[in-house]
Amino acid sequence: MPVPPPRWQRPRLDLDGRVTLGGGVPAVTLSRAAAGVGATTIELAVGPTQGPVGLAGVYELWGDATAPDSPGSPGSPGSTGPAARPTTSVVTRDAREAPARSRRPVLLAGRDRFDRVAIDLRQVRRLRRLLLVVRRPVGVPMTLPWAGALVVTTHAGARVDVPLEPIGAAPAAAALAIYQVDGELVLRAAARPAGSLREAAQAFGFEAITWLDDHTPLQ
Amino acid sequence: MRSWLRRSRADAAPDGPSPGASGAGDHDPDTPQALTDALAELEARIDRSGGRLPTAATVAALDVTDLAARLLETTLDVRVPDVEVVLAVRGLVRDYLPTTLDRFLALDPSVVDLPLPHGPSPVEQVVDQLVAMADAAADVLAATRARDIDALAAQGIFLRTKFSRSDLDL
Repeated sequence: MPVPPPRWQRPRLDLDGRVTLGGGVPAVTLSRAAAGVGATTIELAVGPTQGPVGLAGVYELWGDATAPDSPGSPGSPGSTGPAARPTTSVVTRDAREAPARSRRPVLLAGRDRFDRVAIDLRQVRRLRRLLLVVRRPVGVPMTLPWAGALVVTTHAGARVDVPLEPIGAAPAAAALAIYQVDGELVLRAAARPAGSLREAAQAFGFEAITWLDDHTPLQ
Repeated sequence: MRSWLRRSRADAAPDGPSPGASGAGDHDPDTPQALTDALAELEARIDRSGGRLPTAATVAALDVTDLAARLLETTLDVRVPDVEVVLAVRGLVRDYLPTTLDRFLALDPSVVDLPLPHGPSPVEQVVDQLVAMADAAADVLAATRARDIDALAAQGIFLRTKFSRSDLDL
């Protein structure tokens, strides 16, 4: 007898849909149609009063040889099996590619007007999860509340805004968590203040990173 | 559970305190504020476990906490919160969800992808369990919003029967 589909689903965003994540809608699924072509880009958009803030992407990636669609494999939807542990590290405007120094990166960080991180959707099943962390330069007074947004856009025209105001004043914060589940991306607003990039990563269980200090991962 | 029932009856009195008021209930583990705090702690724990939980389990577990938060919200704007709603949130936050997570996280990571002799792998089981829990929590929320007392009671019984101490067969 066929198993009926789940009766409840979190909100889904199709093609040119648009949503603002927050208390009313904490999470959204980007459908394969919305997230299946080109790239999904996450950009940090802030006003000039925010100063020189930055965006980092803490990630877990499956290796090339992992067979993400094989039933029961470590890369099967949501799996954590030890046979092929994911690579864990950080992309920033200075350490741009993931995997590091890859000619065909799954993640590519950069900067136009603002810092951004792009996900190559042709390789989306290699992504296990991605945590977007906003941060102020070391030594900047921490009394200024965060303002602005992370803006997620897809090639198909879908857009997700993640306001930063709920973070309050903090040196850094986990602003958005992205999980790959069966080829779809689930986006979830985090608004979790942290003392540093390292603290933000550890609050989400990214333990397999070696740190030079609280702000600098060993690449 | 008993303490919340006692408070609900006290609140029904004409001059009784509001459900979220402080005072004698400060040590009541089932006040809306206490449950909100427990929910926040549970969410942080799910996030910290993100490296070990399947991603499908992480998002389903966080769906459950979202739905529990919405259920809690329905108790804040009424003078006498429905005991069934509070029992459902209490069960989700203090028993069904943490027990399910604890049982999975206690396993040796080297075996979580392997099918068990009597059923699917622990990864498949924990994802199925958490998706079913989100479904059930959504049904409780729908019954609460519809003010359907019979459906709410039935869903409350279903939650307790299916998830009490977790039926994860690991």
